[in-house]
Amino acid sequence: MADPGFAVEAEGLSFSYTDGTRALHGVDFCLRKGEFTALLASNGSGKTTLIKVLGGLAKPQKGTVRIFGQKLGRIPRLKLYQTLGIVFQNPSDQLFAATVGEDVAFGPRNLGLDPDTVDLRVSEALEALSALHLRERAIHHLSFGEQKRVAIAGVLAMNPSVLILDEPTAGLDPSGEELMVRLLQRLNRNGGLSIVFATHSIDLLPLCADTVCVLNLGTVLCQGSARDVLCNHEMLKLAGLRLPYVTSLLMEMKDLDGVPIEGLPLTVKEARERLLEIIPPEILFKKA
Amino acid sequence: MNGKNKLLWFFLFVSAFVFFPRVSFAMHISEGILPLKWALFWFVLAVPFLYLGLVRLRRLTESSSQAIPMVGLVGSAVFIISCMPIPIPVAGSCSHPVGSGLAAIIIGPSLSVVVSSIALLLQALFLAHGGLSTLGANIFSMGVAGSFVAYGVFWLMVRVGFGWMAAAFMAGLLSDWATYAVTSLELSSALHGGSGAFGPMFVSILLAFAPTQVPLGILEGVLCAMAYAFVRARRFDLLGVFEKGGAT
Amino acid sequence: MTFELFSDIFTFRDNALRRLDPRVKVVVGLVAIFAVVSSQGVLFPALVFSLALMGMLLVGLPVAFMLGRFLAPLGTVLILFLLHAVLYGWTPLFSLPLFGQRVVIMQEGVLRGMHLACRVLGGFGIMVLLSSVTPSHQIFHALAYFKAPKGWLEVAMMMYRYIFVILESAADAMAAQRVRLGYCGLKRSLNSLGVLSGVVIVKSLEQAQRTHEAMLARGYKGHTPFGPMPALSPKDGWTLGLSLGVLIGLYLATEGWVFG
Repeated sequence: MADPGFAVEAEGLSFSYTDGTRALHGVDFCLRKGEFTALLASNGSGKTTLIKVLGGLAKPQKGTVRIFGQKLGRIPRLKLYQTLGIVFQNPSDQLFAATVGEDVAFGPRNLGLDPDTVDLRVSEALEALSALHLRERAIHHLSFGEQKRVAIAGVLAMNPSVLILDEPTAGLDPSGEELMVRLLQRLNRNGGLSIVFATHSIDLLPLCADTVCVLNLGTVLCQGSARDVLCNHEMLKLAGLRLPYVTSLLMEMKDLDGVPIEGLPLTVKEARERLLEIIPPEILFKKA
Repeated sequence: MNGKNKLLWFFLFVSAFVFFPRVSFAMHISEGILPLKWALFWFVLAVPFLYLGLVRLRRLTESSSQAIPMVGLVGSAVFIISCMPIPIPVAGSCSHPVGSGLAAIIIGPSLSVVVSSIALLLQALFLAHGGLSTLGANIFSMGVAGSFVAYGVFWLMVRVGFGWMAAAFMAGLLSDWATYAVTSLELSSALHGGSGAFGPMFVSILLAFAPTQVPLGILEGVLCAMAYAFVRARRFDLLGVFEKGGAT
Repeated sequence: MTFELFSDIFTFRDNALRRLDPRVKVVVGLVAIFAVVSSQGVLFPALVFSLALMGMLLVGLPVAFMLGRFLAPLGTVLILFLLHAVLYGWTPLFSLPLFGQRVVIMQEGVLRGMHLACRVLGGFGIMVLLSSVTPSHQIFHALAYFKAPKGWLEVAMMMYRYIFVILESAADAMAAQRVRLGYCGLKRSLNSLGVLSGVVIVKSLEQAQRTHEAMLARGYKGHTPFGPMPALSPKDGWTLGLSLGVLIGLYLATEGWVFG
């Protein structure tokens, strides 16, 4: 039953809060080792709850979670959080020390590492998020984007092999979003981290996600490769989401105007290639 | 002597109107006012209460790892509330609530002493209100007197059968006045010339503070009751952490 | 400004005093303050005040900031000075006519008042200087080194961090009340403040819950581990010795122990 290829595997999760709100209902979710999965969902669809359940911070009433084949309840907390890193949506929630360096060192120190190792881990984690220059700064003097990156560094310093991020790009400006996606991608490709990236900013996903899982009203609507899921117009609409803007532009050109475009491009780069294929070269004004 | 005293009081009233309302944290004894002997005396008096709070904190931490973030966060909330400007109708300006009464009925008096001691240290260092050598005296007046009076009044009134709204009002009011009285006592005992001038000094200081502190106490009571009612109505469940590990 | 924001921007500026080990600064600061408080004469506190003032100018503290910090103690000092001049003493210095009566100014009172004023200024000078060159986390770190109770330090650090977070949301909530006329008239102001206080407390409790979860996810076991303190550099050692020496020397000289 426990597939060795899975980093995180959840089956039939149901969770209700004590006040009776049903947040999750029969959710299946899986993350392969080294995969970059996006958890796509509109507001209030149970995304944050699912993250808490996967991270062992909330106990589901039904269902099981396996981390690398081991049942969640059986893993000691200290070991669990060296395997699984959780980054919350609001950086204030998890930056609780006075300075950046102190905050990132919190986790490694809890592991009882010696000061030199702690130091090394702090610099590595900050380096991985291009935040080494912030080390001596006070948390409350940082910008929001810097806080988000430092919050991830704090989790990364625990050396997890799976990183679960709740809305890492929410509230960031376009260049901040881009930087964040690039950094996460680097962690995934070079660092070999398996990443779950919860978001509702659909335009960013095609750039980074291998697979996408769509959550709606506490159930999984659809899980599959990014291409399959992000082109499923009807399903996304049902979930209160939409196609990426480029995709909907080209889809409308194809469906309404009959422009012969092959497939459905998801990114600007792809769209450009498709369009160049069909635009006659003689009308192009090319810069030398 | 009599004529002189009357005049002096008049002068004090005027000075209180002129200076204290603008000196926002009037009930903090500022650095350097207390001579060494008295500064140490109030430290010695405050330490047992602080110790009591730390023991309770340790017990809470043992029963739930939530204790320190909870106490710390309530501490920052109370710190911010104590920085809120309250309009004083009589003095025609603003002053600030003490806040330790509200803290005491939410997290208990001994933890409130811990939180007040930290708030006072931070205020001394980063707002230049109060002082380091006078920290003991300020902890005693604001933390110990303010918290224990508030908690005692609250507990007693609820026990006797008053509504908790009335109890919270009286807790806020009396904690403010207790702080005010104890601060006046601390000031006058340290400043009187030694030759029996303690009485007039105490009365003068009480009167000098009265125009702001008497109405402020009433307003603090209202504030305390409203804030407590709000917390009760919204998230009373969250206060459960503080009920473990003993009553003080 | 609605909230009297406490500023620690200056403490993060780089300067000679900022680079000193916090333990040295805390020890020298406390010794200076308690020496000022125990002084009997005017001279020692006045000297300490001028030293502190020089320090503040040296590290480039803006004069407006310094004035702001000293306004409150100056008010207190003035009142105490006048109080003493009138209330205390037995040798009339001179008398002033006031509202048809004569107020007698006493010599002993004036002296005591001056001493008190100098003590307040000296102590305040040291306090403001210490806090403007030492970030709070370093002060807590130094206190941890001197074996301050751990629970107290942890709560203190948590409080310090989240004051800024809660302050921001409290200021937003207050602005939201203000733009909807929540502060017109005493009754409405009080009502708004009451609700605001409640909001602040509820927010802090919810924040505590979320913070606790985040702490658990990073291996929190009920206590925050402190990093080690680096060894004192020779420069720190020299500074400690020298400044304590100067303080003690000044104290002995001015308080009449040597030349008295």
